[in-house]
Formats: sequence, structure tokens, C-alpha cells
Amino acid sequence: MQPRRLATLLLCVALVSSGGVAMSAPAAGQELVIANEADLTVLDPIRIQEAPTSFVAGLVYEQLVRRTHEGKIAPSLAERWKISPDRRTWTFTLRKGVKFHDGSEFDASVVEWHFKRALDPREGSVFRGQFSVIEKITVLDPYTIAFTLTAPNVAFLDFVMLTNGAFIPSRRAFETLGAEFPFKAVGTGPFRWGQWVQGQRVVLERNPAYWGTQPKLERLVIRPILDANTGVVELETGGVHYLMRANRDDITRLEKDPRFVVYRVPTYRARFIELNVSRPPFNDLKVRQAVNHALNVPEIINALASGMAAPVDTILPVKSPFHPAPGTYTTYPFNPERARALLAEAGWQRSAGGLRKGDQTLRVTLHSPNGRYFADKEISEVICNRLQTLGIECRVRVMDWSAFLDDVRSGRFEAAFLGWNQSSGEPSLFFDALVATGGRGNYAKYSDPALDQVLKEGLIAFSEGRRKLLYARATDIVNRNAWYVPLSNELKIAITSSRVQGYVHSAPLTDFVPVWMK
Amino acid sequence: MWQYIVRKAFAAIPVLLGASLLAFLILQLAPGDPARLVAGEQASEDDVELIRQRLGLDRPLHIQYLRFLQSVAAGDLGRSIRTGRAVRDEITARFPYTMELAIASLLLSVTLGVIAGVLAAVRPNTVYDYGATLIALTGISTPTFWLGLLLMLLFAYYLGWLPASGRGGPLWTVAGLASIIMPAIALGTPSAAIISRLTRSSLLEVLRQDYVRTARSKGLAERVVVLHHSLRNALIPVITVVGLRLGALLGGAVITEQVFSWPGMGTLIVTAISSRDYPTVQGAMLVVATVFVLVNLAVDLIYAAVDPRIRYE
Repeated sequence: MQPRRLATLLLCVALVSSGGVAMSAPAAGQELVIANEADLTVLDPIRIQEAPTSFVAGLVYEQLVRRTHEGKIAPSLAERWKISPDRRTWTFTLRKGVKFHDGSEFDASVVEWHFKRALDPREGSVFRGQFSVIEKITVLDPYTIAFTLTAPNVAFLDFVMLTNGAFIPSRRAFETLGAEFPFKAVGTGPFRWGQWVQGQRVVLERNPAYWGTQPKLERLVIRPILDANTGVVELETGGVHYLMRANRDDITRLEKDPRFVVYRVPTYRARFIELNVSRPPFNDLKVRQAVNHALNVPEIINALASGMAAPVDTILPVKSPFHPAPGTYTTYPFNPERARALLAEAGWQRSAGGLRKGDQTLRVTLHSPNGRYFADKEISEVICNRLQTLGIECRVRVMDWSAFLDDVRSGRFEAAFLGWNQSSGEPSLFFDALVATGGRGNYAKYSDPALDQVLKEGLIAFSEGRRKLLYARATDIVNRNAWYVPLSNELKIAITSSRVQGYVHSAPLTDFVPVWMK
Repeated sequence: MWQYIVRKAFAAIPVLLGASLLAFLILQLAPGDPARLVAGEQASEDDVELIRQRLGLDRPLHIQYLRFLQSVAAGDLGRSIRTGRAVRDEITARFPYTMELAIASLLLSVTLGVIAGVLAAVRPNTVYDYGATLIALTGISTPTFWLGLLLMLLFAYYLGWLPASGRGGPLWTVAGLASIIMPAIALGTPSAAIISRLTRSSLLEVLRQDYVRTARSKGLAERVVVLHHSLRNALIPVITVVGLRLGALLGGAVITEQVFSWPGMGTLIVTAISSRDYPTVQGAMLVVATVFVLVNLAVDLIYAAVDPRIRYE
């Protein structure tokens, strides 16, 4: 009797435990269907710039380093790296035994080939300008490679190694695929290329030879769904399991539905009104300050974009580890009286026809895209409306994106609703581009030698404490000059079916490796 | 007959040239620089200039247009600025889907439109007539995207009968057929409404003709009088409109394709226009214009076949 009882007990334990495993572990052959905002364009890393393509590329390709959910930089294809004492040379020790999806070996020669290609003007790289900080690439041995920069730069990893252009593709794929290379991603990542049916779906399969943790899902199916309403219906009818955008009302509704989980987190997507200091009326500091005081930004953003964007008072995203503490930099609290006084000090007197200085009337045209950023047109209209209450003759000029970009880049604007997206909160990615003399996104041609000096120091300072101080000073200089009206940081949103398990939502990383379906 | 076809085909050449020139000029006149868009928001001026040279956008307009025509004559529609893929491949990958959607919508609209039109004409000023008028007015006035969303809510969300969006596969499969039903209804409804109104008025006019009175006085059944003797003549103007509607369906597919994530030309054209992808827009416009010209040619031929008077002229 005794052995039989024991056997029965053991059998029960085995059944229960196997049942337990079956309940918590993913079943074989699982797939996750993701709605993407658009179809892919080109998968050649040096030409990837749209978010929908970048999203898929990030699942197939890898970079030498990666970001963690906490925003820290961690090893990926490079196991470790070091900076030379003069801060100009970065040496990476590469991971051994990594293979591309086509079976070719990953080593320093591939990394060298890729970055040299990204710098070659004949290759059509959109990262050539950004990567031109690289002066020389030296392969020290098959698994060690050094990048010498034109000038010291402690933000090199953010500036170069964490961009789309730093995804390392297979050299063999480049040589064998020929004209098809830009349309098939062959990388080293946890998912490998399956199929792309244009306009319909992209299928990525689990990479069984992945060097890191194996994905739990067998397959990812990425469907381009252009219309936000259609995406929501697809999610609700089980056609997709993971959605990256929806209308505000739908999100509020889905949040209350137990069949779905809504995730939101502030990201490094800054939205602001850029005031053009190169032409009147915003060449006058007092007018810029007046406009800043005249707008109740938190009220406007919360009314038009609550749940989709968070109001801010700096151009550096609040999630940045270098964002200064409140109270340590100049701000412009909502104060219409102060705004009026500043305009009067600037010589603008109220009259029947608005604000006048001699024979001039205070007129402002606010350039706005339509749908490029969340509620851009609506926010612009409210801003203009508020400025009108102050007596400023304000008009919103809503434009098609390409025409808008043309006007803004040529400096043909007085004020413009603009955004700056980065994949991390590294402050130089914002300040050097937006406000340094000659910066890539410095469309209003701001120039302040004192600020340039601070930003230069920010790129060579090793200590995090020192950098924090420098960027706090930069924040204050920008705000004191009132070059911008900072508006918001857009949130990163994901809505998943409640069957989706193991998903962690964070600003720096979208990772499907630990995800499985209940 | 062949002479007629050849003459019509030659007449199509200036139409196609005009369409391509128009597409080219409209895009060139629209503000926005494709080189800037390709280069990205964060590119430097030097990079933008390099890209402009690489794309050949630094050349004078007439040279750009002539080069385009030269390539078209050689069967090459150029390369997409946005993706670098051959425009011919981009169009080949998507055009069949737009055509299948347009044809499905046309079949649906002709069937529904003619039935509703005949019913309204044979029973004028009755509940059938008023009902058909009301449905037709609603059909014409309803925006396609809104109708699409309503259909999606009803058939996909509440009833769960049809997939919400996407193309389920080839049309001979159940999944494929199920996936085209809603987009075809959404796209075809305004055409069905127009065809029904036209059939009604045209048939009403024919039914008043002397030969119809003669047919009736011979003692023919009303069904035979309407379907055999009157409808054939009444459908002559409808044929022209059906041809024109196919063009409208190809154009209207842009919105329907967006709503239903249908992988056709509409989505391709919208993306190409917003990114100032000149070669793709020009190529797509040329293909759509060619189809339009061919359909009109077919309509002319059918017309000649149906109405002998046209041949004699």
C-alpha cells in the first residue's frame, strides 16, 4: 500500500506541477500581432528615419550598446568600452560568437565597414552629418575597434551609437542581396526577418541562434494600420494585440475595460513654440517674455492633451537625468498683467486697432503643422487666441508638413509649433541641436557665445555632477532669453490585450523578448 | 472597328502626356522640398544639398520632366525618392489590390444601383420609389470614411462576422472574400446611389416612348417590356456613367484604403504626396490615367456595340 500511495502522491505532484508550468509558461507557436502606424520604407540602417521603420528595425538589428528600461547604457554587441584620457578615442571590445541571421560572423571588420559606409557621401546616409564627429575608425584586433573623434565628446554613445544609423547589418547580406538589401533586415537581434508583404504585414520569427535571452514568442506579426480608429476596432476584435496610438477618448474608454491594459510614460519628445529672434517682433526680449507670461501652458496642455502629453517649462525633457530641479532656473508663470507691462515697456501701446508702436501693429503668424504632433493645430489655435486677448494680432498658419518644414528651415516664420524627438534624455542631443550657434535644429539662428561655451564644456565634462551643473546653467540661459515657449513632453503610449504578459513599458526601450501570451 | 480603336488609342497619347505634365507641375508648384524630407528633420544643409544632387532635383524643371518622359518611354518609371525601390515595383505590388477593390465596388454598385433604379422607375411615386430615393440620397451624402467606420462597428465589432481591416488573402478564399465586403460597400455606395438615380430617370423616359406603348399593346408581359425592350435602351447613358465611376472609384479608394488598411495604391499615393516623392506620384498618376483612358475606350466600344447609331456616325 505504502509504495502505491507514494506513487499516487508523486503522480499528483507531477500533474499539478506540470499543470502549473503549462499555466505560467507560454505555449509553443505563440504570436503577437502589433499595429504599426505605417508600412516600412527602407531597412538599410543608414537611411532609416521614420518611427514605424525604426521600430521594426530595432527588433531585428542591434547596436554596440543599448538602453535599459531605466535609461542606463548597457552592453549589447560590445561587451565593454573605454574612453581615452583625452576623451577623443572610444575603444569597444566586441562580443565573441555572435552570428548574423544569415550565419555570417559578427566582428570588428563588419562594424568598421558599416560606419565607413555611413560616412560615405555616395551611400545616401542620412546620418553622415551626425556621424562626422568620427575622425578615424581603427580595427585593433578582430574583436576590438576604436573610434577617434574630431573633438572630445562624452555623449558619443547617445550621439552616434544609439541612433538608427548604428544598427549593424550583415555585410554578407549587403554583398549578396544587392538591390534587395534595403528591403530585408539581416541583423543579429532576437527576431529574424520572415516576410514583408507590402502594405499588409511584416513577419518576424524568433532567432533560435540568438546570443542573449531567447524570446518567448515564436513570431511577431506587424500590421500597418494607418487609421487610429481602425486600430482600436482591431484591438477590440482581437485582430491585433499591441497598439501604439489611439484617440484620447478611446484610450480613456479602453482604460476602464479589463480586456485591455493601457500604458503611458513621458518620453524624450519635446514640444515647444519656437520664437524667431532673427525678425520682428520676437527680436525683442521683452516681447518674448511677454508671450511666455501670457500663456497658461499647463492649463492649455491639460485641456487639449491630457493623458497624451505632460506640460513642461524647459526644452530639455523632464525625464532627462540632467533636468534641473524646479526653482533653479528662470520660468514664466502665467501672469497677463506682467505680460501687458512688458509689452508696454517694449513700446507697444494699446489702441483701438490693437497694440501699436508708431505706425506698426503687433502682428504674429504662428506656423503650425496639422497632425504631426499631438493636437498641434488645436494647441496653436488656443495659443493664438490667448495672445489676441493681450492685443496681439495673431494668426495661425496651418501647413502641410513638407511646406511647413520648408518655411521653418529657411527661417521664414515668426513663431512655429515644433518638436524635437530623441531616444534618450542626454542633454546635448537637445541643447547642441536646438540652441547652439549653427545647431541642426536652430532654425531661428539663436546665438549666445556664453551658452556655446557652457555646451562645449558639457561635452567634455566626465563627472555627472559637473554636467548637471552645466546643463542647469544652459537651461537657465535659454529660459532667460525666452527663445521658446516650452509646451509639453508627449507620452509614449501602448495599449495591449490583457493576454499580453511580461511586457514592460518604458521611454527608452520597447522589448518583446520577455513577452508571452496568456 | 479596328480603325476606330486605333484612332481612339492615338487620341489617348496627348491625354496621358497632359496628365503626366499636370501631375509633375502640381507637385513642383506645391511648397515643400523632397530633399529636406528625405534628409530628415535633423540633417545639415550640406546633407540636404547632397541628397538633392543625388536625386537629380538640382536640375532645371524641364530637364527633370524630359528625363522622366524618356524613362517612361523605355518602360522605366524611375525610383521612389522615399524608398529607393523601382516605382514600377511599388505600383505592381499594390495596383492589383486597388483594381480588385474598385471592380468589386463597381459590381456591387451596378447590381444594386440598376435593381433599385428599375424598381423606382416601374413604380414611380410609390413607397419603392421614395425608399430608393431616400437610400440613394443617404448613399451620396454619406462620407466614405464615416460609412466605413459604421460598417466596421456593425460587422466587425458588434456582430463579429467580418474582419475589421486588412486584406485576408486572395479573393477566392473565404478570408479574402470576407475582407473585401466592407471596403467594397463603403466605396461602392455613392456609385450605387448615382447609378440608381440615373437608371430611374433614363428608364422612366424610355417607358414613355412609342415603341414601349406598341410592345405593351401587343400584349407583352410587363416584365418583358421593361427588361427586354426598355432597360437595354435605358442603360446606354448608364454605361457611360459606370465607366466614369470606375475612375472615381480608383480615386475614392484612397480614403477607403486608409480606413480599412487595404494595401492598394491609395495608401501609396497619399504617402508619396506627403513626402513629395515625385517619381512615385508621377508613376501612379500615369498608371491611373492610363486605366482611366482604357476604361473610356472600352466604354466607347461598348457604346458602339450597344447603340448601332454611333457606329454609323
